[in-house]
Order: sequence, then C-alpha cells, then structure tokens
Amino acid sequence: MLFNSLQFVLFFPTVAFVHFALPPRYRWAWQLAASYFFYMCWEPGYAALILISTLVDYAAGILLGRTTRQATRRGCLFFSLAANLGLLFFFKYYNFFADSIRTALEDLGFECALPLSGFLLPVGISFYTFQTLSYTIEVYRGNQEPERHLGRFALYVAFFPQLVAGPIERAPRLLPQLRRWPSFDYDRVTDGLKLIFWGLFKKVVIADRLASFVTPIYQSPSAHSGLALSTATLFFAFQIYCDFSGYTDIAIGAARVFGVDLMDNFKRPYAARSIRDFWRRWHISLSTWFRDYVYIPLGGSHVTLRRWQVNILVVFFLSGLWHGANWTFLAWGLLHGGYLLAGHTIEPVRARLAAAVHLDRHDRLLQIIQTLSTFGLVCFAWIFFRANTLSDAVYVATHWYRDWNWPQTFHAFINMGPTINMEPYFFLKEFGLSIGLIGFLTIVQAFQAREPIRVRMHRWPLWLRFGVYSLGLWFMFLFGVFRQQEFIYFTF
Amino acid sequence: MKPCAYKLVWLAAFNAALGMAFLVLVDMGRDLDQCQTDSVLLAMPQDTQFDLAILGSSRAKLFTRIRPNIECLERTLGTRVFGMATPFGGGIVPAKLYLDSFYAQGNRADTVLLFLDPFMLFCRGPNEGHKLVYWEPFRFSFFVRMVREGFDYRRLVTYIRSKFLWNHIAQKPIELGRHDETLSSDLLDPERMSMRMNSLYPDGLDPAQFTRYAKTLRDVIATGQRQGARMIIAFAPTLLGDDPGRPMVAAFLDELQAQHEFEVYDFTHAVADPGLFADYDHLNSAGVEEFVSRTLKPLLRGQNQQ
Repeated sequence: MLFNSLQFVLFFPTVAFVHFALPPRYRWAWQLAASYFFYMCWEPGYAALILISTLVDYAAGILLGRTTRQATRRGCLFFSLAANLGLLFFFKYYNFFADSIRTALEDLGFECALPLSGFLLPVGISFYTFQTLSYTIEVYRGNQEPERHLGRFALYVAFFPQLVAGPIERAPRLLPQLRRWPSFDYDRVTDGLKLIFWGLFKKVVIADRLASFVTPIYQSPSAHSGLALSTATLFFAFQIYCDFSGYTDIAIGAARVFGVDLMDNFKRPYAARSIRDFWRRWHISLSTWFRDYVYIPLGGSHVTLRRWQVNILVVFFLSGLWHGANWTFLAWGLLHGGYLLAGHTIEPVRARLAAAVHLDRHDRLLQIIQTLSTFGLVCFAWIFFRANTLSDAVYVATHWYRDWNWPQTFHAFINMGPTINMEPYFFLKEFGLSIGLIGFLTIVQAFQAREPIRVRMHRWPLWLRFGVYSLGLWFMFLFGVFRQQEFIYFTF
Repeated sequence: MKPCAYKLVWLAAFNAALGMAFLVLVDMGRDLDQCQTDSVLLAMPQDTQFDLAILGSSRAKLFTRIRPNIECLERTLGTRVFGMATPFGGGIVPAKLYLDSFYAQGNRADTVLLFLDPFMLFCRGPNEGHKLVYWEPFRFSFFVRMVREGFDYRRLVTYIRSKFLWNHIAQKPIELGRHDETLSSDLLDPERMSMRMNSLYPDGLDPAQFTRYAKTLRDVIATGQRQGARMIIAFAPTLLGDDPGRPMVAAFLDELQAQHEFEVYDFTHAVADPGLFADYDHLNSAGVEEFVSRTLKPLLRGQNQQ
C-alpha cells in the first residue's frame, strides 16, 4: 500500500480510530495486524520474509540473553547476520552478482550461464533487515535487553509507518515506545497530521511533478541537450529529496498520531556546507547505522590515515550497494567517499585560500560559497544515482555542460515538450510551476532553520491556521499529481 | 478525539462548500449549443423532445459538432437532432453516460442512432480513460454515474479539479466552419492505413475487455428501448475497411437481437470516394451531405433494409 494512494486514505483513519478505541494493552496486536495487512496489500507471500526475519532475530535475542558464553553469543550473532544478510543477498543482489560474474567470465572467454532468480525484489527488505540487525547487534553488545514478547518484537520489525522506507529505527529507542501506548493527545495527533499533510504535499505536488521532466530525459539522455540534462539533474535533486523526505514526514507523522516518536531522517540537507555535513543531514538513520555498525567497528578515525581512507571507502561502497544492485549506485557511493577523502585532503588548502581572501568561517559569503559548491557536488553525484546504466551516467556527466550556446539552446529547450511527451504549452506551464515550487520549498526550508513551521503554527490564531490548511488543501488538490507513483526508496 | 474529528470535518465541509459555490458561479449563465463545444452536458437541454439522438465516437460527433453539418442533417431529414457522440475516440461507456443523463434530464428522442465503431468495445482508453472529464462541467449525478461505471479515481479527481482550472473557467464558444479538407491520395497507402487501424486497438482484441463493454452496449440498447425509442446500431463509413474487432461485435449483436428489438446496419463501405473524407475515417462536410441524403434519409424514413 502506498502512502499516496486512496487505500491509505481509508486505511489510516480506520487504524487510528480502532487504535484509540481499544484498551492500551491490546493496541500492539491491532498495530501488528494493521502492519502486516499494509505490507500484504503489495504482495502477500513476501510477508513471510518479514516473519522469518522476526523469528530469527527474536530467537537470537532470547539466546543472547540466556548465555554469557562468548562463543555461543558470537554464534547467535553470526546466525542472525547470516540469515538476514543471506535473505537480503538472495532477493536483492543475487541476480546482479550472477549477471556480473557471467559478463566478466564471458569477457575472459569462458561460457557461463548462472541461473537467475525470478523473484520480485521485496519492498522494504533493506530497511527492515537493517532494523532487525541493529536489534541483535545491540543485544549482543549489551545495550539492549532481549525483547521477550514476540508480538511486540514482531511489531518492532513491521511497524507500518516505517516498514518499507524507514527511518531505520534502533531497538533501544523504538521498543520501549511499543510497550506504552499513550492515550489520544490532541496536540500530538494534530502535529502528526500536519506532518503527514506536508509529506504528501512534497510527494504529490513537487516530487511527482518533477519526475515528469526527469524520467523521460534520463530515459534517453543522448537525445537531449546539455541544458536539458543539467535541468533534469537539478530537478532530480529536488525530486528525490521531496520524494524521500515526503515519505519520511508521512511515516513520522503517522507514528506520532499513535504516540510513537521516530527519529529524524533529514535536516535541510541542501543547506549543508560540506559533504561531511551533508551526510549528517541526509538519510540520517542510514548514515548513523553505517557509522555505528560498520565505520566505528572498523576503527573509525582512530586509525592510520591510510586505514581511515579505506574505512571511508568501505562504508560508502556498502552504502551505494545498499541502495541497489547496480553499478550506478556503487559509483554514486564511491563518488561520495571520494568527495570526503578529497575534502579532507584539501582542507588546509581551502582554509588558506579563505584566509587569503579574508573570508572568516562565519562569513555569510563563505557560507554561501560552501553551500553552493556542496550542492553542486551532490547534484553531480545524483547523476550516477539516477541514470539507468553506468554508460548513461557517464554520458550525462560528460555532456551536461555542452551545447550551452544561447539563444538556440534556450529556444530548443522551451520547445522540447513533444520530446518528453508533453504539449508545448503544457510543458512551459509545468516547467514554470516546477521552478516556482522549488523556490517555495527553498523558502520554507530557510524558514524552518530555527523552528519547524508547524510548531510556529501552534501560536497562530485559529482563523489563520484554518486559512493556511485550506490553501494547502486546494493547492494539493489542484496541482497534485495523482498517478500513485511509487516512492523512489521503495525499491531499495 | 472529538474536537479533532470535529475540526477536520469542519475544514472538509467548509472547503467542499466553497468549491461547490465556485462551480455554481462558473457555470451560471453559460449557454452553449452543441456546435459550440465538445461538451455534451453543457449543450444538453431539459425536458425537450428530439426526433433523433446520435451517439458514438468522433465519426459520429462530426455530424453535430460542425454547424454546416448539423444544419444539413436537420434540413435534409426534416428532424430535430441532438448529438451526444464523444470526440477523440469515444467509447461505449461515454455513450451510456450521456444517454442516461439525457433521459435523466427529462429529454426524449424518437430514434436513438448509435454509430458503433468496433474498437469502442475493446479498449479502456476510449471508455473509462476518456478525456471527456476535462470538458464536461461538474454535475454530481454525472460524477455518480462515472463512479458506477468504474472510472479510475485519478480520472474522477481530474474530472473535479479540471473545473477549477483556467481552461474550464474561461471556456468560450468555439464555432467550427464547414470541413472541406480532403484526404490526400498519397495517404491511401495500405501500410499507413494499417497503422491507423492498429492505433485504434492499443489493447488488442482483449476478450475480457470485450465482455465488459459488450455488457455496457447491452445496457445502452436496453435504456433506449425502455424509453420507447427506435434503436439503431450502425457501423459508420470509413476507408479503413472492416475492423479486426468487427466479427466479434457482429456476432454479439446477432445474439443480442434475439433478446432486444433494435436494427443493425453496416455503412462501413457506404461512402467509397476518398474525396468525401477528411482523413481515413472521418467524413468531410461534402461526405456528410452525401451520406445523409443517400443513406440516412431513407433509413430514418424506414425505406432502407438491413
């Protein structure tokens, strides 16, 4: 079930109504049933994978809690890692590796036909696998008591607001919240509803509108000019942000309605002043997961420079691989790793340069330059993330700056409607609206720097809030794209 | 929980009322006749008796959408005609929606003539996927009919929200003059004609779709019959020849004739001169004059035989 579907519009109020009508001690069961129903609306059989993950990690947690023998504990952890990562590998990566091995062997002159799996990629498998793994690792480390209530643990794995695209929660934070369900709280519920509304707005008004430009251009990049390729890449930067942060807002908002606080996943990422800063603001639940369970165990930064560089590349290689079984994602991950290493290497040079032109660290101009250059680097990396193949990505990366001979390029650009299946007038109208929406989003983000607008709205008089909600509803109704497009991160 | 639900209901009700008021204001005083708009509902009168009502796709729409054509039709036949055909590949579902609305508004027609193009019963696009949602005004009863006919919720949303967009608000009468364009002879190429035919069947000859839309055709015939109209089903003239879906449609009509009383005519080859066509399957104004005087007139006067 998609958050931007009619089914969800009926599903969510029903779940909420029954949730609050039930005595608190039965709410976990209702939430568990609702979560499995939510998932099974997509492909009922694949709920079995969540069940297997749940049972494996529940058993591993219980065994870890019962024994102090290091060898047994290691065995339990290994069992959990092998089972979860094995499922993830089989369903998500097997075909990729089999195909890559076949191609490599063919290049070497060997004939090799490895059988390919015909299974669909289970929605959300990367998310719930990482969430269950974090539980077992925390229990192994002694930071988390094993959960003895199987139902509650199953809900921890399958809680529907964050089941298919995160945020990837940690057991010490989420499990206690699933034991105590608060009663209906007006402020909390309305706050959650506002978040859901804002998330939906970002998805159906901004992200899906931008997708109608990005998709056809990236479908055949060689058929488009440099101006079109750069515009599509810029639009994709906002599309993926609105798509993913929109999903996250709906997830956090829905959970908040039930009294569950999920972690923040985004903190105005395009306001980042460096790539390191970007990763503290983008997909926070995943980057902290990799930090806590991969980067730090590898030694983090408390190792030699060479080893640290390897650690960074390993983390970003895995991060790229996590996103998808495609060379483009690996290139995207490694590019970000490369940015971080390069940024670290030239840091003294940058500092000297800033000092030479008398730019203080807190100087507004320096901040703007840093933000824009970081955004430019991030956009360049998005080329690899979005392209269908590595050769397409290389084409875009080497052509986005070409053919900028005004005014012919501009003339060709404004007449490109038919090449992306849009009538010329419609193309211009949609393009103008898209630019306006990006501007609107940027202004809203700037306003949210200190305090979320929805928190400020609590202090506004009722008539003003009412007017803003009505305006938002009308805008979403009139300009929303109701094609029920999947969220991009559903496929990861 | 109550204050929250109360405020949400209030917010929804207030905005719904605001929207309804806007729609009433926009459509107030809009008076278009059938030659001035693609919309059927905007031109549909109330409690009016017609001699002939025409249903069908764009091949039928051209009889009433162009003023010289409908003038020719009414003059030659000596009848009062109302066109309910749907342009841009209209299917059988729009025909049913319009016929139901026609009767619901208290109108009557002695004869209902449905120009049935076989593709109308095979594809979703001309039916629930049709663009009519953009140009028809908002009518709650029409909306309910669309829901009953299984229109996708996105089409339903488009139907409502397009009424608030500038194209609908600023809609002005459009008069189309006599259509004298003729088909260029170099276009009479079998390959091109075959491509055009294939474009009419984007979903192929799907039996499941056919079963579904055949039921709608049965409903259309039953509705006309219930209202005491003479029901005529005719295959419209075209240069493309017989549709691939025609055998299935003809067999179904034969079967249906055992249960319902209606007439079936095949005019596919009634006009053979390419000079009387604006394109492969649409008559130009001269073609309309020819077809109306030679074929429709005797038919409607009961002189034609199947």
